[in-house]
Amino acid sequence: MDFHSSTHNSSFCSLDNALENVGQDLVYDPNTKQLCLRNVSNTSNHLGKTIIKDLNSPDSNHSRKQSDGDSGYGECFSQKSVISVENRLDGFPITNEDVDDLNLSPISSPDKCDGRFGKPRLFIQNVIGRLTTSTDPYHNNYKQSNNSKIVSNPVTTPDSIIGNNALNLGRRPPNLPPKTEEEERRHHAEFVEIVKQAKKRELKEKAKLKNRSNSNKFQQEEVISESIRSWTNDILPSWPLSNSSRRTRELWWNGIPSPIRSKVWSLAIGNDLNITDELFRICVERSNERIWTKQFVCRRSSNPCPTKKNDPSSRHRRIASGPISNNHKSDNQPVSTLTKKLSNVSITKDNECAKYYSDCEEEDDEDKDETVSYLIQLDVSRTFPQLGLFQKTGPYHQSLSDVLAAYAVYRPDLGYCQGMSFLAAMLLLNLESPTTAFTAFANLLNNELLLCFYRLDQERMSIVYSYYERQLQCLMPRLAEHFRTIGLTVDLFIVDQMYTIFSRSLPLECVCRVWDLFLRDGNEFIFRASLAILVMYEDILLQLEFVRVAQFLARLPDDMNVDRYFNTIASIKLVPPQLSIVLETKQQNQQHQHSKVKCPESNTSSLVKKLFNLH
Amino acid sequence: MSYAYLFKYIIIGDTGVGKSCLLLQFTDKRFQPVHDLTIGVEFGARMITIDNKQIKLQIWDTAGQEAFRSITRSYYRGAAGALLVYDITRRETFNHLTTWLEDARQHSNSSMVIMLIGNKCDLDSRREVKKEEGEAFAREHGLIFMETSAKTAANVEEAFINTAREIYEKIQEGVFDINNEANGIKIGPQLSPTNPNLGSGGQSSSSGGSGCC
Repeated sequence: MDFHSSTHNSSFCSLDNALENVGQDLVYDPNTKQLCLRNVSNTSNHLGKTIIKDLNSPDSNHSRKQSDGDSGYGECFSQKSVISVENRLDGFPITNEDVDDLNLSPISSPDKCDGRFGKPRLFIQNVIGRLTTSTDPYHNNYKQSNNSKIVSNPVTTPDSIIGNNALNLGRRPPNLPPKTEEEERRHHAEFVEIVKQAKKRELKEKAKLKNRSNSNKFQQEEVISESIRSWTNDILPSWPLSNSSRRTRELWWNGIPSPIRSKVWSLAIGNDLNITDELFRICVERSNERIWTKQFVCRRSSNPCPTKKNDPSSRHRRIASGPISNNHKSDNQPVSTLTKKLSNVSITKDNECAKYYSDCEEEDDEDKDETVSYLIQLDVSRTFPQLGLFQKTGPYHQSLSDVLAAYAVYRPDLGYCQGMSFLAAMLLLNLESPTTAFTAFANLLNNELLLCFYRLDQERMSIVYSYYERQLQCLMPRLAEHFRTIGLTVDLFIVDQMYTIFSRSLPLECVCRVWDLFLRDGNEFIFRASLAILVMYEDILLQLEFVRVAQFLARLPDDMNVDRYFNTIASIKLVPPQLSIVLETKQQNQQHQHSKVKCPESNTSSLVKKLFNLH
Repeated sequence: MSYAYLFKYIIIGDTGVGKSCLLLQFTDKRFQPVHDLTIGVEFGARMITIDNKQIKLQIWDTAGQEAFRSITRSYYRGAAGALLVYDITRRETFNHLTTWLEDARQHSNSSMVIMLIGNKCDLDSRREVKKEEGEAFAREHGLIFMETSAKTAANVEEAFINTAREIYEKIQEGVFDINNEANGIKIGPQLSPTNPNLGSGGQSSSSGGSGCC
């Protein structure tokens, strides 16, 4: 306190004065390589704390003591620390955390204190004293850091510290007289005014920007809500009649608003197959039952050391399968057969396992089921991996597995084929429930074009390829020629597009809109959408070689301009004859040739009759 | 960048054995734990050097599901090398090698070099196929054999490069008729500066243009 009382009333104090005052408290700090003032707090709380004053600081002469009995600790600030206080111009209360940021540092350890208390305080102490009520965290900080440099400031209040330092960061050089109080006040007032103006300007600009984006957003929202109103009030209630009207088609072209999409997709796909919730449930149940029993068979048969990995829980599950199977008399895989097979496995020697497995494969189609279940499990996790929704821990993992497995039970002739998981995933993402997704999936796959691919009907597939090549040749003869030169045939990129209806190649936001219109216009739209990609990127594709073209088309740029893409699609007119006519002609020819040959798959043939081409 | 030769490779094997991951590791030197599944065919390319000659590998990575075999069969045409991959942690993928091999031999040219790859060798604790079994199968069918890990990149470079070396040696020995593109080898601009484009191949031909990868 002595130091402060001595300097309190003087506006200027020479270095000599200061030296006289501090007397033997002057110490050499090896860290800063400067002479420092040492002082120790007198309260028990602050025992052992050393106060250092940087005597090189000219501003120390302006020390002002504000009554502050509590803060009997010294403060060691770097210039940076002070600025960090200034940064609190925003008017937020400064907390202990802020104080901790100030790099308070110890110079000497507590055992070195000389027992003098109430020695000189620094000006910044005023600030700290007000900033902190608890000093303990402070102490810790104090003890941890070794880097100390004292900064003292010509202040009367914390506010003025802030103002002066911000206005005049470097302070006046040591050879110049310090500012007068009046000057300080003026500078502070000017600074406050500057900050106020700057803030005002900033707020104004922000508000302007916000207004602009708000009005854009507002307009978009208006359009969307208007569209939703039209869909809900006008189109959906009178669905079968309204869906071909010009207004509906226009609205549809702009993309179905996502809240309506589920409803529209379900209606557009329809349910010609009369799939019910009950049917889905039964299919899932049966698939589960078949899948895990088969997995057991597989695990045993494919394992070279079955006895080592004998899993009692599997046995348990196998036994538990009995009643479920009995409930479904129609199940073509009675429990007795399975049990027999399993007992066969258990006595099979290691080296015979593989033989058993391949025997099984030839024996009947049971093994196919196992493969199907395994494939589904494998592929569900590999569907849209970037979304993380279908992986083991993802929310859609089970429902996607269910839809695919149920479909494999529902259509054993098609079973599961890679690519299906993307179609089912798209439906699950956009429709209400797994049941509606399954209904839509089964009906969607009943599409002529998709069926020809999913059944790997080579003949019809090559018709599709030549149809596409013809379109390409007519629309873009240069690109067609380029593809011929580099040896790229259309099948190399349209296979992926057809199997997944673009869900792998196009950016996801774009895919939904493509699907909207595929469901409106039918298969023709797939070709237009595919050709539009080539039209849009023709110039780039003409420069690329084989691998690059294929890679480009397999993963289109994420930043592709969706509006431009749809405008391009709109501009594409397919060259007649239509694909459905070409395929029909082919089918008629085939039927004519095999008119007397009965189709071996009665189940399939009856379903084939129900084939429909969407719209 | 110009190249002396272009070799067409095809990667075959059951689904989920890591074909695409091997390709990604070879071309991009990275591993994706959850990779997209492959539908139809995907492509990769990389330049390698053998005997001071730049060789471009054009790699066709095929779908593994059995249902797709009718599609993938057409991809064998014009392949100079094939990587036949199985998963050492799934015995059935090893058991299916015979049918894959039959398919490959039937639909490719007779001099195609086939490298047998036992992938996922980092998962030794889950191993179901011993290394010796792979070696025996390769010996029996005249294949080169390697165990790889697309995850740790172990032997991945070697698998692709050794296959190329084998093809290159066959060219030197005159086994491959390099003027017949159906063999999956194309002479690049480095060796035939006057004739960089040898015309187009037919459907699924191996020609890769003269650009760089």
